[in-house]
Amino acid sequence: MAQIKIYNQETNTTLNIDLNIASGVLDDTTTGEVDYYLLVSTTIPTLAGGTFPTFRVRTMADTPPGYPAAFDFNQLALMYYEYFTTTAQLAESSSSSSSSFGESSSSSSSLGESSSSSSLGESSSSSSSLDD
Amino acid sequence: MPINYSIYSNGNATSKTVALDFVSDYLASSSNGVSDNPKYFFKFTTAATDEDGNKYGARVSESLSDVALNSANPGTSRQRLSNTAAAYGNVKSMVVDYLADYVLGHDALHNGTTVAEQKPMKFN
Repeated sequence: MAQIKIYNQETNTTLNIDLNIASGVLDDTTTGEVDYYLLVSTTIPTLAGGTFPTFRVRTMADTPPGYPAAFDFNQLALMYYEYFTTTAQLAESSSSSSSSFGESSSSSSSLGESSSSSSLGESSSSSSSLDD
Repeated sequence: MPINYSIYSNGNATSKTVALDFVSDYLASSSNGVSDNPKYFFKFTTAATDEDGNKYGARVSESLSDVALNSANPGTSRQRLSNTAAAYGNVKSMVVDYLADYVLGHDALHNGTTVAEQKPMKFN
């Protein structure tokens, strides 16, 4: 299993994105054959506090909603990473009026540690966005 | 968690296991060198040997264009080095071909490209 760990400094918690190989007979099968696929799941909460669905990847076109087909599995994994983190607005500063994952009320509290950055992993000063 | 595929030999009444996992690691490959970032890819491993007793190295699939050197479909030539346009349509097709390549082995020459010959898997 491949696992992306995302450390939230403010809450001292670690969120995970898991990519797991799986097999089984799928509910949309037309032949009854066992299929092989990836399951992509995350512990990142949605913006509303819910949970993301588990995504099933059978082809390179099984990318997150709104994304094009992936070139390879590396790009595909990073697409899901970007989708989960941006959809959940993990990197939004809590000093803004929008909802934020972090609970700090300080003015510089984005997950990527840079107060000027608004996107996880885009700031050159961020140091812990993707370390596993 | 990896999936373990058990390959059973009816003639020898023995089975061998091939494990498949999806992993993230720095990757050193003959075609791309050592990656400067962790890569995500499928990784096949097995403790089985070929008929000459040679151990199999780990096999890596970075995309559905990373085709196996032999195929489960008779008459279909697959190879990794030059036939990159022969992309698999889904993960299942890729897995099946890689497992078939373990069982069947492959020649040293595939579609005009020299690769390391691999004998079929040893079951006796």
